[in-house]
This record gives sequence, structure tokens and C-alpha cells, in this order.
Amino acid sequence: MRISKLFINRQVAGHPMTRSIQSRLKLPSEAVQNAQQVYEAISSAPDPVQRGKETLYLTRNRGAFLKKCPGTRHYTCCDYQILHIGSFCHMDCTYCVLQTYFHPPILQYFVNHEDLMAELDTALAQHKILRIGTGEFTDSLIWELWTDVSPLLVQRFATQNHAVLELKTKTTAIERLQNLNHNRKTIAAWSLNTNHIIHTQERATASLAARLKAAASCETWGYPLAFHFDPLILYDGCEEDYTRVIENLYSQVSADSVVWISLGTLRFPPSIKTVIQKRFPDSKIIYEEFIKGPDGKMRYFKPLRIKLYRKIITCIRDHAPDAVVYLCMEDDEVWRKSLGFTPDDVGGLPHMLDMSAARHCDLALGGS
Amino acid sequence: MDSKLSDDQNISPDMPPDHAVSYQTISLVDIDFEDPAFRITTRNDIDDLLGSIQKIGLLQPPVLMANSAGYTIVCGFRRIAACRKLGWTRITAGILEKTVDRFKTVQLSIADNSFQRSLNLVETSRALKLLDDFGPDNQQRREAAEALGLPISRSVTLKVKKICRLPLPIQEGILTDTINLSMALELGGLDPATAEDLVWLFDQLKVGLNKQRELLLLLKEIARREDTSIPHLIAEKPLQEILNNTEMDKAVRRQKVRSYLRQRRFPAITEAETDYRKWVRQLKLGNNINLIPPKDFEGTTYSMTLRFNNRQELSDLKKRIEKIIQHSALGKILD
Repeated sequence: MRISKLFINRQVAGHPMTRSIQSRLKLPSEAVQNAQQVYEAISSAPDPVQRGKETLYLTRNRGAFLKKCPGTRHYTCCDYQILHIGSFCHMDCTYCVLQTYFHPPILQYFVNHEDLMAELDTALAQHKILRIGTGEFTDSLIWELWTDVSPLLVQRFATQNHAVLELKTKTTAIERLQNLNHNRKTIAAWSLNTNHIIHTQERATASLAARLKAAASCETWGYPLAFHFDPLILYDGCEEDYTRVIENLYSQVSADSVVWISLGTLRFPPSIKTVIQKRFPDSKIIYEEFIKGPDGKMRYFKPLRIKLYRKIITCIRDHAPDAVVYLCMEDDEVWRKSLGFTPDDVGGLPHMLDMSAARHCDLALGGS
Repeated sequence: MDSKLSDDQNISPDMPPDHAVSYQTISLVDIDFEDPAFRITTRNDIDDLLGSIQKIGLLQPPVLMANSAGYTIVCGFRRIAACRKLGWTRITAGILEKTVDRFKTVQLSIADNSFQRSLNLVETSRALKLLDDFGPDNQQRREAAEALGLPISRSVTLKVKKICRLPLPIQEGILTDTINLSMALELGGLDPATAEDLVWLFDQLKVGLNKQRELLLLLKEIARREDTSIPHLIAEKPLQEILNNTEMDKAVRRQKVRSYLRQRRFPAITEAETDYRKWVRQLKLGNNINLIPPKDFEGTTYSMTLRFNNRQELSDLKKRIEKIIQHSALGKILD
């Protein structure tokens, strides 16, 4: 999906980052006073979500760049931190909650990197283990075409030894990661799914084979890796298909390079359902057996989730008995029945992941 | 007024001055019975008119509009049908002058109905559509609607106008009070065959709007997931067996249909609910203990309510609870 329209907030019109992006995009731009004008332009389109994916808005982030990953008290969270470099994505996954997360959603990039780096420096100065990623409100590597944000961050994280940066993507835009001195402080991570789901539900994303090939390349460049099976989607034959993905994964990368694998079944706010029905009428993913969880999100009926997790975890263990596998936003019962233990048994999920990060990324434990 | 007017051109003293009508006796074969352009009424029955016309005559002449082939009916579709049934060959009717514009004509056809009785939704829809088709501007349409006793609220008229364009089975559903406006519009978004089958289903089950919505949602989602159609689902043997069982109490039949569709839509959830009920029965809780599972079995917290009137009853409940704790069925429930 190509960017066809560029809006620039007047306040950042002269910013060096704005100029740099403009020169790479080579698109005429329209100056606006604020985001409201951009929203109005997008809202008038027949498919505002689609229009938002083709529209880039350059602006300044007036709020915090570092945010806690939105969690809930009803399910176990991992204390991940989001580095909010921008929002939305030009790829088009049917299940993406970002379709309703912002109103309307637009591809937005914050050019005030000086503020971003200042805030990051403050966080990194705490000398405590932090797991920070740029791939929650957007895809970490879609910005490679127009910005230098990933190399900038990789090189910053390389100069310290308490925090890791996770770049999570469904692309293969890894070229500029090759010759960076990352010092193993950046984890190259991919969202994975079956070929069937990628083909039918993840429009404009890289194929599974391409993602795994990119991961293998990053491994040869020394990057620690991570994989996120999220969302796991139920359909006839899905268990066998996910098994094949895992076999494929371990045929391409070494188990020792994998910092963590996360598993999370499809979950979504109820409002996404009508968006999917309207934008992707052929998609059937919303017609499985969902219940509304205590956090208000629709989830597969619990026994169905546990059954799938157990199958996948068994397959992972066959290939990598020591792999750090964790569940995203599940309760103790699901942990116990799927993994055989609960996070509290191992000091809590944040601790479990911190330790794995420390081992794979040479982090210093404790204050220094 | 004399029931049989002469062929002389008479201007009726009861019509507004700008309605020029002359009464003539014309041959029934010259009237186009098939043209429903100005038809408002949804009633097709004429039994009530047959008797009175036969005894007393045609007291209120129908109104017709001349066209190249003869006459189009403006008012009096049922009266004319009754006269035909009675074997009449000629009829005295009011013939609109050619100078009467279409907007005035439709107002006449609407008034002939709306000034005598309340119009049902389909008739109101037809009336609003005619005003839309021939009204020169919004203001005049609105004024005419108000004068004729039709709704003028924009949000209401937008919805009601759609009705007369819906497939006939849906319109029939409204007329028989099987479905209301809201459901009619929802069914209007489906293909006609599906809509027809659903109106039939709702008529068989005699369910209200909320239950209709629930059944529609279940059917839609089952059809999507199984790559089939709603008519196909309705025609399947298990559902037809329930629907055709006329000996079954209606409420039981409704519940069985709902249960069947719910089980089809949520097989794992309904199986878990069935298992839960089975294990709870094994616990023999009695009337004074209630075990409440987490909603949709998602959480892990169960609740128990106790009903007792005095210390002795509470002590008895305590003994029962101790037995329940030891029961294997509780393990099945909690694990």
C-alpha cells in the first residue's frame, strides 16, 4: 500500500526530520494546523481506514514517547514498554485492533526525535532492566523506507547494557540493520502465522517464508531473535498448520538465538467485528466461538485456547526444550494447563522475560 | 346523494375547487385494474363491500384518471373489484379533468384512505413514496403529508418510505404483525429468498423483536462459518422436525429452535454448559444451595449462595457443603 497523501503539521514544517522524510517520499504535502483537519479529510472517504493507511501525517508527539503496554488486571501482563514512534500501519490485517484504536486511524509519525531520545536517555539512565519495543502501535520496520529511526535506536541501545529494544515486524525491511553495531541489545522479532492466515487475513505483509528468511539473516548478523504467534487463529486444520510453522521456524533459525516466543490467541474489542464485516466481508475469523472476557475483549472460549496452546507448546518443546515461551494476556489457569506452571512459580512474568533478555542480550543484572 | 348519477358531466360540490371531476358512467372493461400506481390500500378482501354494494349500491363513486387506453384507478380499487365480482359491466365514476396535476391526484388517492381510517405502515409507505414521486419540492411534500395525517419527522419518514420497496413477503410480515419496521428494514438488506424464509420462521415461532434478532444473528453467523445459506439452514431436517411438530407447545418449540441454533453456533460452549449442569446435578445441591460459575467459564471464581432461615438450617447446609467438597463432581467442575 503506497502513501498517496502527505499532511504536515505547520509546527514541524521546518523540522530537519520532516524535510528528510519529504525528500524521501517525494510527495507534495499539505500543511495543517492540527490533526483534526487530517481526520476530517480521512473521515469523508468511503473507507476511512483504508484512506488512513495511504495518508501520512507528520507531527510532533506532545505526550510521552514511552508508555506501558496497555494491559489489564484480569490477565497477566509482562511489563513491556512501548516506544511510541508513530501509529498505525500501511499493511492491512483483518484483525488489527488499530483499526478502532484511533479515531480515525491514520499513519502518523512523530518527527521530534530530540524529545524521543531525551526521554529514552532518562529511562536508560535508571539502570534497570527494560524491555522496550516500537512495534505495538505500529510495525517497527515500515518506517525504514522514509526514516532512520531503527538504526538510530539500535545504535543508542548498543551503548548501554540494561535494556533491550525489540523491533517487531511483519515485513522484511532489514537491510539497514545489517552493518549496525547492535551489541546484541536489539531483538529482531517477527509476528508469525500460518500460510493460510497470512494469505487470507494479513494483506500486504511479507510471506511466512520471507519473514523466516529475514530472521535467519538477522541471526547471522548476530541479532537475538523473538517470535510472536499473535494472534493465533482457529480454523479447521489450524493445529497442523501451526505445527508446520514451528518446524519451519526451527529449520531456519537456531533455538539458542531465540530470546522468547509469545503466544496469544485472537482477541479483539467488540467494535472490531463490524469493521471486519464491512472491510473484509470474506473473512470468517469472527464467527468462531468467542466470549467476552472480563476486560471487555472477545476471546475464544477458554478450553479452545488451552487446547491450541498445548499443541503448539508441545511442538515448540520438541524442537527447543529450553525455549522461553510465554502467554500474552492469559490468566493463571491457562498458564497452568498450557505450560504446566504459572508466572508466580518463576518469580513473575516480567522477571522471567528479564532473565531471558539478560541471558541472550548480555544485560547487566542489578544496578550498576 | 343519488347512488346512480347520470352520464351528464357533473362537477361534484364536495370536491375542492381545484379538483375538477366529472361523473360519468363508463364500461368496466375500460378500467386498467392491473395498474397499482395510485393504490394505497393493502386490503385485497372485498367481502364487506359485496354485500353493501349489492343492497345499497355504490354510494361513493371511485375516482379515475383518463389515459390513452382508458382509465387508471385513483381511488376505489376495492369498490371496483367488488363491482366486477358482482358482475357489473358499467359503473359511475368521477373522472379527473386532464388539468389536474399528478401531485393533486396522489393527494386525492391518499386522502380517500387516510381521512377514513388509520393507515398501516405499508400504506403509509406507499403514500409517502407517492408524495415523493410527484411532489414538486420538499416544503410542499411536507405540507401535504401533514395535511393528510402522515408522519413528517425526517428520521421516521426515511425509514417508512423504504417499506413499500421491500420484497412482498417482508411487507406481508409487517401486515400480519409478524415483524416490525426495524426488523423489516433489517430483512430488507438480505436477499429476497432469505428474507421470505425468515418471515416465515418468525411467523411459525411467534417471537418478538429481541428473539427475532437473536435467531437472525445465530443463523447469519452459522451460515457464514459453514459456508451455507440461511434458507438452507432453515430447510434442514433437524430444524424442520421441530417446526413441523404441531403437537409441541409453542413455547417449547421456540426454546428447542433456539437451543438447536445455539448449539450449532457454539458447540464447545454448549457442551461445556451441558457438562456443567450434569455435574451440578450429581452434587445434589438441593433448593437452598446455588453454585454459580464464572461468566462463560472464563474466570476462575465460583460463587455459592445459601438460603436459610435459622441456625439449624445453616448447620444443615454446612454438612451438605462438606459433602459437596468431597464429591468428585466438584473436582470436574473446578478443574
